[in-house]
Amino acid sequence: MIDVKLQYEPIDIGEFFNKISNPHHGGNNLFAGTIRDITEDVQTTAIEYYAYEEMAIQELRSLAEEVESRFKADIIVVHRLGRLEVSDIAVLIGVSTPHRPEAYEGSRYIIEELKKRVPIWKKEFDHDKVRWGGIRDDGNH
Amino acid sequence: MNISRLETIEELKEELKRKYPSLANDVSQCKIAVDMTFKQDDDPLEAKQEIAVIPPVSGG
Repeated sequence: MIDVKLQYEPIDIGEFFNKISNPHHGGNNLFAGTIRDITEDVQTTAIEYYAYEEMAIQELRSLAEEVESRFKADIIVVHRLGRLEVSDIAVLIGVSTPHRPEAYEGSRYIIEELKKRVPIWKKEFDHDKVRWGGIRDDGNH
Repeated sequence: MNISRLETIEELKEELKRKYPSLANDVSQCKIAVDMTFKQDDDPLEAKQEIAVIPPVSGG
């Protein structure tokens, strides 16, 4: 089972946990990426997410299919779009497998690859200025 | 922009930089997707429905 989604409404964890629930599975990993208030010395108040939606769904589905075929996993990936405040859930990844190692590994793979290749962008509202992409390791200050 | 004589993704990026010099640095950081599939610089540029210039992504 794979379900990938972009949505403007807040993410209801229970709704998506129910989707990956499987009586044959004992490892159910839910990862929630949330809006952090401080990065280095920069204070963030809000983030707006934008996407090339059709391609983002296609890329998310392709990522989920990789993990599904490797681990026989059930997978949900849901990413928020629009304006989010501190502590809001921006992304929820659920991976359900018979045993826990694959659930952890699959979830980690999806979030790392999502950050590299899914066409979603953030516009970060910080105390000093607005940053497209936020503060990244490549020195986008 | 006429792209019919361009043969690779790399040539497309170079043409974009020539045509829009003020965006040259940005184009260097972008990836090209053809019909919603990311391409490498040395991939051939074939006539398709859509060519998208994708800035560095920042989801998650």
